[in-house]
Amino acid sequence: MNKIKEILKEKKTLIPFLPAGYPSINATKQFVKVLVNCGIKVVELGVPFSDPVADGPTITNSYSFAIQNGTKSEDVYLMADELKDEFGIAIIPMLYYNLIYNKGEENFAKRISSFADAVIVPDLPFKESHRLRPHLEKFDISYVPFATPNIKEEDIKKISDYANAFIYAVTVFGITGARSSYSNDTYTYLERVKKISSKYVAAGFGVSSKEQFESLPTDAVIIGSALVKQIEPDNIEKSKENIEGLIKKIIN
Amino acid sequence: MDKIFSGDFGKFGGAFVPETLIYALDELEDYYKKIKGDREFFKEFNNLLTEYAGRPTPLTWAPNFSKRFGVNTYLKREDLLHTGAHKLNNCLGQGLITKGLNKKRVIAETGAGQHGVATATVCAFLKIPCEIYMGSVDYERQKLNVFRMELLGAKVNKVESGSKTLKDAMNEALRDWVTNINTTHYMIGSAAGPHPFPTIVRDFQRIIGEEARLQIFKSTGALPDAIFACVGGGSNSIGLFKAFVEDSGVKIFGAEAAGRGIETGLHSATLSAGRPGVLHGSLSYLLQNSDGQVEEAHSIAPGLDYPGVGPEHSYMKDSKRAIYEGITDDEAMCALEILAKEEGIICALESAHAVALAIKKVKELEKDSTIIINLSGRGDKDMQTIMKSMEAKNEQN
Ligand SMILES: Cc1ncc(COP(=O)(O)O)c(C=O)c1O
Repeated sequence: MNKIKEILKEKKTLIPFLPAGYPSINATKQFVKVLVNCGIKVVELGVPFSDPVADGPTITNSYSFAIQNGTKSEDVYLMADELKDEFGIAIIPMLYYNLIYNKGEENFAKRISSFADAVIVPDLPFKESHRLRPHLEKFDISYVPFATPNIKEEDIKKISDYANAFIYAVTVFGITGARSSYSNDTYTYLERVKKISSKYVAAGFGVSSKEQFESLPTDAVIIGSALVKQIEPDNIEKSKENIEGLIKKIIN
Repeated sequence: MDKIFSGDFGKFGGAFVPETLIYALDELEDYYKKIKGDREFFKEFNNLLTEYAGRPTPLTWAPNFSKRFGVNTYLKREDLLHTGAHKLNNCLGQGLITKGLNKKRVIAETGAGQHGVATATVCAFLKIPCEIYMGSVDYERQKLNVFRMELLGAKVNKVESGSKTLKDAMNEALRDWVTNINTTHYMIGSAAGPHPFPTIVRDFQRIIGEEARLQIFKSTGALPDAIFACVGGGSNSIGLFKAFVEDSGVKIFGAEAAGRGIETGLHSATLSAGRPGVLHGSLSYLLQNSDGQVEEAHSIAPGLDYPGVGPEHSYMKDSKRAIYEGITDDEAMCALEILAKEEGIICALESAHAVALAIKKVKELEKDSTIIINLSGRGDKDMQTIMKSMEAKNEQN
């Protein structure tokens, strides 16, 4: 059985997102170690991209920083290999399609198969996913489809058929970035997705608090920008403390 | 019609955008399919093009330029269109679509400010609030257009991320659209972006080539031997080219911005120096490094300062129907001066790239050939840039 599914089956899961290479690959590695020590079992690793149109300023700036520091996709993959060996956690790379296209879909799937349990591509809608899915399947990596607040019932059914590990339900209309609370619409929509789909659902975009983690009616909750904000590029030790503090506050 | 409408230009095109946008793009595609055969829509559109925008624009015979370079040269005068560039054709069409879709707000990106001005213009008389995203570099070098947009009632948002030019303005507009998808239409300014935009924008710009084809027949009784247009995102060029694509005797040339020279890395010659990749929703040629990071573009012409290009041009390049070549900042400036002095027409810096490419290609054409150059816009917006560039030149000498 897929490793992510095993984890989600156990209990409501927090999936932290870290932009790899912010402020350095070495620092990201240390941050993941902190997460593992907090009991985290799945992490999402953002591969820096120059034009991340689905992301708000926090993640966009962290990507620019990482690229300016010389972070290459291959550096991220090498780090992910090491993390997999050392901690045995589930790893989900998240990256924009040009980074995949640039490597070639098949080569890409082959390269990440050593560490990736699933992959998230924010600018690859379901309509275009036929370009990547067969290659992921070949290497036993889960494709993650998106649900959005404007999703139609028949589309929930359709994407469910293609979701191996889980569906990524975007909580709001918009880009990544911490939000203090959600409207009732968000809860209604997520409940609708849960009800119609038999697959696991992870909610993401805007999560920053324990209250949100607990109240979102999904199997997993992804925390991104709020975590990235804990990182102080010139103080790794402090960043580690901040990360530990936030994660513990949410899951304990 | 379905084939035309697949949004696939060979392997190029597609809709690589966050899932949230797919619903709006589908809605747009459905609506566009509906109006494509709708006489009422096109009656209204054509009426606006004549009564409001001032179409048809003339095809002007350029006697002195022709004599100097030894080819019969005709200029398609989009510079005479209301607001001073071809951009208005597309905005009028998309303005009517916005109304039809019942969207209450419009956003747009702009580089040179011409698309921003055209958007603000249309939104003013259609009474739709609009916000324009503009990179801060462009904001500075096209201050006059910023003022025009504001005078027309638009809100101009300065974009400080990345290269602070057109690419980043488009990123920001896409982010706005994902956030306000239910209320807002994104009026993309070029034949680029996710499907169905490249098709829709091309169709609204086709009028340039359709008029030019009739006009050249009327003047010379024959088709031209070659046609020239500048390529930023690719809308004025595809608008001209489309009417001549089936005429195999007509050579098609697209002028890209080679900036300070392709070898310097400071250029926007996407088709000449890029390779296929995905940016802003479509698969097309792209300036990128070996890792797939998008590179910053450079051009003295803000409307060409973009590392991507519309997917149909990638298709025309690969199928060899059109030839794309780079023109440097200096060559464009030189061509702008020549046209000004020979014909009394000061064209936009973007259009000057097309003029420069025509001058270069004259040698390859037979004597007494006939050519059409698309003057996509007028130079008023560029006066400050041109002055600065000339001052810098004088200081060097
Ligand atoms: C006068 C003029 N010509 C050309 C362009 C380039 O755009 P496109 O390639 O879409 O025609 C612009 C863009 O701003 C423009 O203002």
